[in-house]
Amino acid sequence: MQKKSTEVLVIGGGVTGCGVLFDLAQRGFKATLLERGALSMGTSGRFHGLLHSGGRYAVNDPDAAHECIVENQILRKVMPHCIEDTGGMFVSTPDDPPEFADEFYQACHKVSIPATEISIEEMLRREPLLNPKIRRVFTVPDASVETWDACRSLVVSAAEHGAETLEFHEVTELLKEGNKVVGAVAINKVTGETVTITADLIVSAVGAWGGRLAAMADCDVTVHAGKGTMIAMNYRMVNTVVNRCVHPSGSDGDIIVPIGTVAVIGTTSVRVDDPDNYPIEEWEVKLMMEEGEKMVPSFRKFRALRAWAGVRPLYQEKGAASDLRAVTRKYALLDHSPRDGVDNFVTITGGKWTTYRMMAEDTVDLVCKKLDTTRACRTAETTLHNPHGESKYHTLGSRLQKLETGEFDGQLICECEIVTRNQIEANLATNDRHIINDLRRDLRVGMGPCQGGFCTYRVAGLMHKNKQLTTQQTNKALVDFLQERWKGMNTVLWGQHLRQMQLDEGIYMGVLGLDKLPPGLSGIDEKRVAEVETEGYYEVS
Amino acid sequence: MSLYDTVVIGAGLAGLTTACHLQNKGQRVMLIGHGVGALVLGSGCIDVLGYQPVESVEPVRAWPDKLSSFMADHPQHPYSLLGETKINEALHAFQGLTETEYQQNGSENWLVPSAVGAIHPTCLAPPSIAKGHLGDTASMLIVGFEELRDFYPALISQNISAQNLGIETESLTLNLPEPGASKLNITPIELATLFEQADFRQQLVSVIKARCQDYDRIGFPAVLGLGRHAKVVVDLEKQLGRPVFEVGTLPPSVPGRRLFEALKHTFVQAKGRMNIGTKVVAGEVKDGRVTQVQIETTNRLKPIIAENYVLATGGILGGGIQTDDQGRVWEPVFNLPIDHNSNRQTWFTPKFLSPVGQPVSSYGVVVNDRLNPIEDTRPIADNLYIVGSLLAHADWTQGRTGYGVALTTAKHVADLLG
Amino acid sequence: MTTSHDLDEITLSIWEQVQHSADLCVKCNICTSFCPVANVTDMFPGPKFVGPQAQRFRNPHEISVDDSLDYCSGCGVCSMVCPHGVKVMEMNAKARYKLYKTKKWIPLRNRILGRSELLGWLGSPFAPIANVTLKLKPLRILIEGIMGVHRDAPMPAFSWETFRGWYQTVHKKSPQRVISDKKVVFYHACSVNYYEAFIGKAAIAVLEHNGYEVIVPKDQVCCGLPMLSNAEFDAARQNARTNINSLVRYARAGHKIVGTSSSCTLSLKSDYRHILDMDDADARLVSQQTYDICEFLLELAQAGELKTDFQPINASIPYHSPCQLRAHNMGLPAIELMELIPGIQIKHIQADCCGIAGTYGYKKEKHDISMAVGKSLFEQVKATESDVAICDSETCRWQIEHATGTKMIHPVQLLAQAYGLT
Repeated sequence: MQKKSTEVLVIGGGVTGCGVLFDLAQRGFKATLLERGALSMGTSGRFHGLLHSGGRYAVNDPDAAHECIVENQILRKVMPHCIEDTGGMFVSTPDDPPEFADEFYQACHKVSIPATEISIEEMLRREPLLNPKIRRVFTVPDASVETWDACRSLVVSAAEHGAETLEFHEVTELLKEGNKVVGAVAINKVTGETVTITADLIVSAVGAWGGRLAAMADCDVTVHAGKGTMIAMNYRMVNTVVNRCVHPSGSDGDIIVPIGTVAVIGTTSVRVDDPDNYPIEEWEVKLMMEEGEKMVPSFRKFRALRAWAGVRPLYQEKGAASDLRAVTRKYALLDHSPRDGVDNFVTITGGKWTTYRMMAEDTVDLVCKKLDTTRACRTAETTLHNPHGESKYHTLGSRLQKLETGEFDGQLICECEIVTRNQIEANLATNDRHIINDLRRDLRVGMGPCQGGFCTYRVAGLMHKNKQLTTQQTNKALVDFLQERWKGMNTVLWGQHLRQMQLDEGIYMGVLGLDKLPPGLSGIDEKRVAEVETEGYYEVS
Repeated sequence: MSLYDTVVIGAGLAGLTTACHLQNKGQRVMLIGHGVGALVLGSGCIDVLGYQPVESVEPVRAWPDKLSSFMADHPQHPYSLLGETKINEALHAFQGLTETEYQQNGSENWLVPSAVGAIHPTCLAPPSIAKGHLGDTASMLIVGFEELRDFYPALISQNISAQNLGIETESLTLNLPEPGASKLNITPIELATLFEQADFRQQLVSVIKARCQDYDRIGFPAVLGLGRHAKVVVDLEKQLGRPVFEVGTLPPSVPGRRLFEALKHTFVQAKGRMNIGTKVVAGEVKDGRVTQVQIETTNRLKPIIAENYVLATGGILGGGIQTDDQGRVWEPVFNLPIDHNSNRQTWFTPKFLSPVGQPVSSYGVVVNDRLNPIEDTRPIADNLYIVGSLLAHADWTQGRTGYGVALTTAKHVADLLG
Repeated sequence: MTTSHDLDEITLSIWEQVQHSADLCVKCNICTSFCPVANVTDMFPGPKFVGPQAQRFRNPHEISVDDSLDYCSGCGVCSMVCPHGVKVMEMNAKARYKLYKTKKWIPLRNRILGRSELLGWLGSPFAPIANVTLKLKPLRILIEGIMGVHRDAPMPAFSWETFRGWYQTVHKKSPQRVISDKKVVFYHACSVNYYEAFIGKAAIAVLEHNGYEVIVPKDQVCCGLPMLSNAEFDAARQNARTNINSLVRYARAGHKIVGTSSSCTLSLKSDYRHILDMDDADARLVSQQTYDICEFLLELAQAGELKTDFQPINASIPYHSPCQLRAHNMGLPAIELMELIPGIQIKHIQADCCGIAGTYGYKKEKHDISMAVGKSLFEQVKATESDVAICDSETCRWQIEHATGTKMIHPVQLLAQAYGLT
């Protein structure tokens, strides 16, 4: 068993945990982060990618709205390379209450969100596919944000200050001495090794899983899991974030976010009991398609690429609220010492992606107080590590441009998302796992229309060669990634995407005969299929 | 004045074969394809029956022996409708249809390696592919190229070795000589045209020759020439002094393209009319007969009139069957009935590589023994014939019967009309 | 037919715009494997790449970043072979327009090549001098150096007399001219007007022989395709509008519009609407009424209205179906029509493209690509050892004649000969 010690141990590698880690490290704490899967694999990686302007909350939750616009402007400065400055629109369709539009506009201005009304002609000039029957339009500074890049930049920036990040480490136990939490035991999901880490203070940043982790420290915390289902549409039918101008409570499928090469429509809101197991239901898919049509009349003519769901952490101190959307999106920072009589343990949960930095600042302020030190937060002024060099907004065309200018050189392996062999080989060289899904998260391999149809075989071939894997390991990586892609596709397979699936089937079954390799060689067996059915650790076993 | 005896809709294997047979019999045939069919995406081999029981991973060796049990398990499959004799006639007729040679391994399947080194059981294969037969224990060296991202020789050879077939297998990855070396994203088709250049082959041979001495045969990605394929193989074998074979790549497939071009050549030489790139958008049925179909030219719909109409538009992949988010499933030209479940959740299994097939892949047009589409038991139009994967209960993943179905149904229609 | 969702016409037409067809691409690479250009040069990464794939990275609100799409020749083979209905070539044409807009600069050479009409207007009056001069190697080398027009690119000979001039001053006054209730409009395009008036005359002869009165509108101009393919959309739209306004009067009267130039009729049929986005009622009406001349005549044949008093021609003649003709998606009417002539054997050459692709092969940096694209076609034509070959499109005829030395004719010339009209 490996032993480590640190000053502050952060559990949870979503954007909040990564943000806390960076803030701690920058304020000079020795900090370590444990994440049970890959960074941003939980809720942070399962949202629509919206960097809120705050417009959405302006009417019913002005405090949250104000936080959003403040943080929106800060994040644009500190992580521009993760942000595409799409701008946003709030549109009042014939299905929406007309009186809400004025209320919305006034509420925005009260909390300093620069909403501007534009004409329908101007709206159609900017976004020709929007519904010409829309009655009013307001622009706001919404944007879209690349969560994988953001989390990676945070931990790399933290590492520059000496922080350590351990992915695929699942906490199995919190170590207590009397009423103090003194460390955690984690299992390395890749090697199976156990690691014990002692720390002066432990921060729980595990979102919807907060109740489970707190229970390991004998604290009673209620965090509801609010499932939100989203669908990525294959084509960016809008290049601006489009929100319905409606009261956010009781409204599903009211936003389309252009992010990367896709447009994401979201979301539903359903309470689920288990944050690890929440199937996407048929009615949710149907609803998204119907609501999408209200904003973009030809919405259903476009291809739905994938559906997925994430679980929002909804902290509740006392008594259950009946409607999840009525719960404030403000976050909760719990000091378990006064609250539960458990020392050296802090929980940060709730909130939104957009306000992660503010949450991290508050959390680290509390850490300072508890460790009896005063150190100023500088995260609002510090531009994060940017692997791409220049600090400017991410643009949709940037990958294509890099390929054209030769900045990306080498064979194109994932043609849909423009990922080159050099990028893949560099990534493989720094990664001791052999999971194609890692390459997806880091480089977007397999995220395009063909959903790995062509690149999975190529990536497997490169992995086999570069990492000198056995054929069993290679075949398994191949099969698992195809199955992972299938899992997000099969809820939205119809029309052209079903034709795509049949082409992929033709490649892997007809041309390659992958399914007919002996099971011991291909890793296709019932047990593994059962594993891939539940989200979590199917990637390593 | 009707210009055509038969209109064939669809440019895949089923459509092209039907068109060739009929044109050869002296008919005036118009073949209309909305683009090039799926032939260029497939292996270029004719699979008739590869697995029985279909979920087994043990390849069928002598397919005629397993045919009756396959038919018994799949009474609605087109094979069960047309019978073994028709399959054999179709295979025989196909072999004489084009200038491209296809070989049969007696009554056994060829067992050829795929691009992951899995065993691909197939009935008819071009000689260049058949020479990779894994039933033969001659040792093999699989050669690949750094520049070709669609073929990984080490993975192939090691997966073959891991299956303990008693074949000594090794791999060799080379850099292409110029002008291949500067082509970062060379496609199999481009590489095939390079292989047609003698000096290019010469440079390769000079590198391979010294390193292939311990092996009985040399496997290359299936890029050994397009139009001059046969010459390329002969030349390489002569220079390397041992048999040379081809292993398929990711699509687009060069052997598939060769077959497409060969069929097209046969058809056009026989003065068949071909219109690729045009969609047939509607068909008119009056009193139990098709009276016309309408094509979508670039500016208007245009009627095409013939005596008989053959629908070879494929299944879901080919576009012969359309589906939507509401769970609707339809045939877009004649709106033929497709028996289906409109609950989309019943269309799929939880597994992508499903041993029992995705249920949606079995959807298709139900026909009588003349391959006329039927409603209840009555033909909808007696001059309309359905061939290939548009047929119901013909999911190719089940037993790997796709091209066998295409050829057999094409032959049957040709026999009925010719 | 079942449609999945009923959208109103405007919504549908916006959705149907070519760039949105990128959504249909399943990445199968069929287009790339059939692309005549990608298979002979590394400069062009292929139609899928610059088409539906790059389209995913194109935000209309951002500047254009992909120069490599300039190497697309616009032949349209990609759109034809695509089994999924992706409008690859059209998408590329639109993206190229934006590329040049981003650069804010179109080379003078491209501007001049885009103005075939201006060239013809300048050249025709000086035909004997111009024709000799343009054959002078030193001059061509000079032109190549200054303008980037390749020294070996095929140059058509100017006609001394323009076709329209002949029609107005000679034919209209001729007592043999057919006057009839059956009228057809002839869209002659630049090539017939300035270079190949004899094709226009053959067309009129064939149409009149079949009892049609032929109208040649005076106010027709260049179809705009050369400008379009050189990314000058605004200028192309001006020409398009002039033509639509000129032709729509006849279209409204129910007259059909025929042309002998397959690329120009394709502009009227499709490009105005789908590439230049001029999808209004007039443009649609003109589009619907436009016919390739062989298409028109073959429909007459099918209706039993074509005169079949052909004299036998006992010859085997190679025929190349140009890309721009195949892009009409109507099949190959010329072959079926010519085979009505007794004794004739039409040998259909199996080649996708001659390489010239309008003005593409004239450009210095693209000439070699263009010749490599056409190589197989040239070899097949030469192998027939025929002293004449047939092709519907003018620039293709010039290219093939230039590369093979074989005399090239339009199908309508063969028909005129068989009718004994020449």
